[in-house]
Amino acid sequence: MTDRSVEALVKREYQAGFVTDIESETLPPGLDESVVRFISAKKQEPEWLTEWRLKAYRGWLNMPHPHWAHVHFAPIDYQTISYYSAPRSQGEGPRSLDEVDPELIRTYEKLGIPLHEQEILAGVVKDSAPADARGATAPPESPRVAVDAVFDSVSIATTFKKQLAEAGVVFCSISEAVRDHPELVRKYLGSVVPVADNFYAALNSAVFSDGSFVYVPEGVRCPMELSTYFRINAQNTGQFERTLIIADKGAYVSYLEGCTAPMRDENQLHAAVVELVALEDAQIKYSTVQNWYPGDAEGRGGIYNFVTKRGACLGDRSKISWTQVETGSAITWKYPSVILRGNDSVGEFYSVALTRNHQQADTGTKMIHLGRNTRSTIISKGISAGRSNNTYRGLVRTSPAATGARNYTQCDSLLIGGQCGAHTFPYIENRCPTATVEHEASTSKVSDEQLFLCQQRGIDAEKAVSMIVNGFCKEVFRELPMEFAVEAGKLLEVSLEGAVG
Amino acid sequence: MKTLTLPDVAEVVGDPPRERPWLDAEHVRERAGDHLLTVLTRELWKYTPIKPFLDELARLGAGSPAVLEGIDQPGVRAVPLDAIEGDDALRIRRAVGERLDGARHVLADLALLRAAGGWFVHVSAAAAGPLEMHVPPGGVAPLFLVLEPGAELTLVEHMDAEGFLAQVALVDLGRGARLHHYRAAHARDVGHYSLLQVHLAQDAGYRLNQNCVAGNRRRAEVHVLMEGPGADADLAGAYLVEPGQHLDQQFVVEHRAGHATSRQKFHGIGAGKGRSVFNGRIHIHPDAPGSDAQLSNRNLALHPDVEMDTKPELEIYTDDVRCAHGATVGQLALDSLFYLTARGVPEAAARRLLSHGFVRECMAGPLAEASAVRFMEAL
Amino acid sequence: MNLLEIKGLRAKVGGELILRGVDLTVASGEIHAIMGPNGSGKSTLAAVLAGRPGYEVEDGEILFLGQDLTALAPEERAHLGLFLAFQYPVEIPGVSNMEFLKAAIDNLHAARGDPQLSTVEFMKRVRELAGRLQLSPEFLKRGVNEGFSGGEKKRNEILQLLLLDPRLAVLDETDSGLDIDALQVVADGVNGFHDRDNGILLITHYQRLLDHIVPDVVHVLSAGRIARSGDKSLALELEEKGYGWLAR
Repeated sequence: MTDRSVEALVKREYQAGFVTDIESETLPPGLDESVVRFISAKKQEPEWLTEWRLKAYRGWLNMPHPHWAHVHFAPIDYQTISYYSAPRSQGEGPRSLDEVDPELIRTYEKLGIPLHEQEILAGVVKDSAPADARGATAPPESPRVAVDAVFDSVSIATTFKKQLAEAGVVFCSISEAVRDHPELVRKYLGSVVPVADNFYAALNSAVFSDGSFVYVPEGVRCPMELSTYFRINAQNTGQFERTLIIADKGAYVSYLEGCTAPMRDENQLHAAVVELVALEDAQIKYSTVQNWYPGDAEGRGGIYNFVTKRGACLGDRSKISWTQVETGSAITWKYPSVILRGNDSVGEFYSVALTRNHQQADTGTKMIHLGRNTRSTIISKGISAGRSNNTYRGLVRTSPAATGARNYTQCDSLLIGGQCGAHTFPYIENRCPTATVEHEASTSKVSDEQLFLCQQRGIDAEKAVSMIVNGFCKEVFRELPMEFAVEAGKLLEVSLEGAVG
Repeated sequence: MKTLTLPDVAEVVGDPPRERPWLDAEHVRERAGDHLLTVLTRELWKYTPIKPFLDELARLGAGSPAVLEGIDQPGVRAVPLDAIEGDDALRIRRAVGERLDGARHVLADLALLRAAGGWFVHVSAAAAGPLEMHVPPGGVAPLFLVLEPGAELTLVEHMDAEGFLAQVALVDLGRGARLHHYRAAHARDVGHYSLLQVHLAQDAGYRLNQNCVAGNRRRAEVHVLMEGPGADADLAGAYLVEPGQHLDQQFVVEHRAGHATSRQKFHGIGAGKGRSVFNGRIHIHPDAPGSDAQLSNRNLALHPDVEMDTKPELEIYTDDVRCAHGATVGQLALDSLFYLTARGVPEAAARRLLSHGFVRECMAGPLAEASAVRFMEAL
Repeated sequence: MNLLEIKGLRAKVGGELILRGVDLTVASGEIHAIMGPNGSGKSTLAAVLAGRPGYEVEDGEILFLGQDLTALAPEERAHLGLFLAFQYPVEIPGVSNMEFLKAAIDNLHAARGDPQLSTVEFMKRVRELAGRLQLSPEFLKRGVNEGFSGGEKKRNEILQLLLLDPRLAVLDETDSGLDIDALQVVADGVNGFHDRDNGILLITHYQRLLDHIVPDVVHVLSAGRIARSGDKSLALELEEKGYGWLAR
């Protein structure tokens, strides 16, 4: 340990960095109205949606870049990005899993996401009985998870559709939803994140190519976890997916999202929009394990993850809960938020963000309290290592009508090594005298004493750091569906390997 | 998107009246000009419009100079800025040039360009009595204060004048120097801008107690820089928002050297339809291991139409630190209220008592009593 | 058989030479006490044995079961069977005691090529030990040493000693901060651990621990060297006369 320093800890190679060799239909780089029209036409969209996209595009042209985030990068040339790429074998889109190109299925298998329904999420359940004594034992039955797999610009497969349909749950790609459930899409698309909300959301609204759509009807508890797995494969493409989840009165759904991309020297843009709508007594639990390619040790390459995620608790007593584990991306810029409109509605945000090498993360949430007795909880755990910068940015706003509103926020930072940065920028805007808002933040480091105690008990420094970091994140992992909590813990472990050399 | 244009530098400060040896007016003018263009896009003026300040600065007359009491004592040398020359002038010139942050302190730059009467104070030993400064209305009153290594001083600032006032105070604490600083701003009918910037050398100690009542428009910026190991800063204060009033306080504590300690504790009450903005930033530089910094900001919203915004910030660039902040906005604790009423205190009186205790906790020093009385009036 | 042989050990902390030539041998079945005034190097010796970062061996040898420890990482020393009970056990928030103990024992077994303990066996063993040390089962779920009282921290150290069952236990001021009842619990734990195959190095400032854990040999460390060695009566002599007379 003496000749190895804490700074050297984070050296592990990215494991999802392979490229799938598959023929793609890719638009040449560049963005103008014809590209927007092309994408819309490709998806055989109705006129209103084409117009909606064009409106977004025209608005975007006049919008400035957001400049306030604590991140630094060279300006992006939006004309060098290709806005549409689809595996050629997809053609008009397969009707069933059997029609999906085997090469694509292999890609997802390699990533631990089998698209065969008889299987379960591989790599998740197999090892989910951790040898350590977390107090819980492995689930006796295999959980079933329905997966929507999005490869570059298109959704290539959605599993368990039939079983879900029996429960009345709609789970499909957004393109299909536009075709099959136009009334729902038209009603809710852009209702939570308006087209002109911000620069990246406007761009997404103009060029979004695919994504997932979920509708859980009144009173239905979705019988399985729903999950979308996003994969960027093609070079010089951006991924602009759009997710819309609607939980009708009294419905419940738990949704998971995972992401990876190949290792490439240039930066790639991912600008997604996720909209959640919860009606009366509905609950949506949205979990993300984000592992986009973070760039190499010198900070070359990696994904720019500029994402707008927002949920609206429209109905009384509704609840939206965001849980995120962010370990990837060169730059992360995302603030999964909740608009608490319904009385007694609840918003939650649980976040672990780990940055290492030259990664930059500026992430947090907004809790907008509009209804009476609305409650929100924010737990953010930031871990910085290497030369990275990790920022929590959050807004808690109470309106005059939000009588009795409550917020509790806790932001903890863990620093590993002396060259990283950890920042906390909470905004509290209170306009309601009966509201209570509490914010606490603290900073700690992995101390030499802690490492030495572990080592003296025979636990090597790397395992010790990973154990300490996992302990630091426990409050957030607890919120993830169990199988994913294990996966998240492992991802963190992998990300930290080599962090204490 | 709303567009707002700001007056340019010439409109605000006019032509410099005459040569002032302590100010490199050309440089400061240029710097202000550069940053005035971008001020609207910056976070610093997110909650308080800068334009009314600029307008008032532009309208400013000659004003009367600040009155300073207690200057005739051993170890203290006070020179009015009008009479400043030689090394003293050079020293101020350099401090203004190098130490003010053009982007953060654009209003301070503009105020200095309009400054009429002000003081340079040099303290070379432990001063026996306090120095009292009365800031006059309708003027810009700069104070440049230097404490030599080992020197000690108590500074009391009365900022109670009505009308418009702008203050810029630059304080330099030498090695082991100690400054006890008490300020109170109790007037309501004011437009007030102030910048207080304090530099602490090794083992220097700074204690500030600042109690503010919101004005028509009041903005108080305090910037404390820990530049030597062992430096110690303790900032505390209470504030109050009354009907129709606005108060914006911006605290920055920068740890530029390691092993320094800072504490910040501010309690505020919103007692009328108005707005309070509190921004408290702790910034730990990469070369400041062993930094220990804490901030606590609590707000009590007592009026249905008061807005209380708070933004505690941490910006940390090294791992060997102890930093924490906490902020709350809320109401009186019900159990405390119950405890008092159970002892027979009527509820209204109990509320007043508890609210008063809440702010009294953060008041100290020679002005505390006056502040307590002033706050009590509003409750 | 010799468990530990220290020969001519010189060690620095922060550039300052603290150990100035220590020679010490501990054989199987023996209990050695190291006493000495504050600043004599007692805790430094413990830290150097365990390989604490920042403690630099300048010269000399530390043979443990015949193998030189000086180039080994702390966990490698632990795997060989060297255990240090810390004077100030550090807190590790968020990492539960149970999780920590399991990681320690799993790594120990893995390093030795022994089969892993099943979770059930492990839990049973830990609960039994906790009971012996009068620690409530609740404490196993709490963060490592997090919010523990001084006595709980020390008992937790002894629990780890019993669980990991090392060949040599170095107890660094384990008696400090303990009331008489807790001292008895700790001493019972240590005495229960001790057998013919293992050894104990007790580092203490006071004689009182030695009433409970009886040493075979007592050494006095002074200014970085063993100034005197003797049997238990030496400890009593020190108690009576203080450390001053040794310096002369």
